[in-house]
Amino acid sequence: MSNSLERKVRIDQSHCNYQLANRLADSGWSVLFRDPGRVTRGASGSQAQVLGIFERTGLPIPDIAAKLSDDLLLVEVDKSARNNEQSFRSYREHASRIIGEFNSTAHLDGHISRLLVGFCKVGRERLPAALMSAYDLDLVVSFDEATPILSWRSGASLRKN
Amino acid sequence: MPTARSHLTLWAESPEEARIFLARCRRQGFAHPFSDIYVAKRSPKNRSNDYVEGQYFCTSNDEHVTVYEEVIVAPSSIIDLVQWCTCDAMISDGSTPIVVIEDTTHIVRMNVYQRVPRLFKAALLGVPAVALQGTRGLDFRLRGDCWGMHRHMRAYAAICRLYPTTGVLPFYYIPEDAEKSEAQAEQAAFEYINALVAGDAPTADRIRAQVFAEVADIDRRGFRGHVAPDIQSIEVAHDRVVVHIGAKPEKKSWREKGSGQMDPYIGMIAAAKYIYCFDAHGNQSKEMVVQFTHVPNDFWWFRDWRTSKSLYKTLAFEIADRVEFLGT
Repeated sequence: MSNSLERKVRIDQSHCNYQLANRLADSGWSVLFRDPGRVTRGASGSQAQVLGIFERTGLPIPDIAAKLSDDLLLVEVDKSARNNEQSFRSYREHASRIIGEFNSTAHLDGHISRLLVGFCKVGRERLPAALMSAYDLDLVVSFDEATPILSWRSGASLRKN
Repeated sequence: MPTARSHLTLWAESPEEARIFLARCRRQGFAHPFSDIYVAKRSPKNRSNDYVEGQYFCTSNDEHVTVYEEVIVAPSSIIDLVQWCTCDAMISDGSTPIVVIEDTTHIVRMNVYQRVPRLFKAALLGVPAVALQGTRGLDFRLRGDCWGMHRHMRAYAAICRLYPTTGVLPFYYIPEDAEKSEAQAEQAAFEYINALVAGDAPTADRIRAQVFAEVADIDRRGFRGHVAPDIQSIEVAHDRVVVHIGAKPEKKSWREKGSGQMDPYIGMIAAAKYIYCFDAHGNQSKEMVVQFTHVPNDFWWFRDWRTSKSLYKTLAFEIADRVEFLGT
């Protein structure tokens, strides 16, 4: 068995999803939903409730949904931001509806007044600011090595890091 | 006398399945540390099944189950266990399997035997198996769903009769039933897993006997009093059992889905074989036949079944004694 520090971590969607969710939780976010793929085989608690909201409304299911104070953060995790442009736009266009659904769903713990949209790149993102601007994002996450680097939009970053 | 485990290894289907299992271990105070954790698929969305040839990914061997690029070839005893699809988790001491675990929240009424083959394979190989089985997807106010559950448990009862020293033990939970909560099922399952890992045979035997009795009772009296009628596509004759597969060859799912039209049938074939084809002494007394009503001989989807790694293509041939194509 070789030393784990010498090994190259496999950076894929599953890894990024898990690491980002952990990082958000460590920063005080309450991770309400995380799609590791297994969700298709069933969910319970906030995982099931959030999945229900997106299935009911027909909106794209995010890879991560997290809450901090009155902010709700929806994150897509992918190799390409372009592939998720439709999701980003849907979240923006239907922000008030999404907020309303979360606020009217029991057990999701409190009032939400603002929707933040994020993208987590599976791999290295050299120009997070450009990506943020191009897709109107509040958060861009990049993986240089195995750990996530979070870049928040100015104004969205309060209390977040 | 409890057994000292020198090299406890967790073999999981994916990092997510490993994390879920490790979280259950923590909740239940499972006190045996894993020296190594390997995963068959690098992510739950990855559909490759190179694991049937033994390829497993190395991980960080901790609660995060970070997956490395490095792969190993599993020992043959582990490869044998996954030939009818991998369970969510398997525990071995070095290369010696101790227990396999399938952890599922839902039962699909039209596919109640979906996970049966992988669990039965363990029993056939003399490895104890555990099904931590949720029942979401079934509504037990409906008679048809009680039938679904009865059919599900009947399969476990059959394999437990045939392999009494290992069996496949279902620990099922029902969300709305306080006496059958997930926490209780998890605790009971881990009492058994813990006993197996610790080599505490008397405790393992006691739990196995309790679960066998409960499963046998459901088999005999029905689930909540509802005894399921026989499934029409399973024909039981005096000398053979025929699973009739009515899938049409022109259906586009043969081309569009990796599983073709076979998804519900693989489990049904395995369940039918072990429910109906063996006598009380454990000897096979009936031939197991799979009969495709509409699919012709030399149907393109099955042409490479001998060399394919797709279990949907291979398992009907492997589990049944004979496969017939009646279509023209």
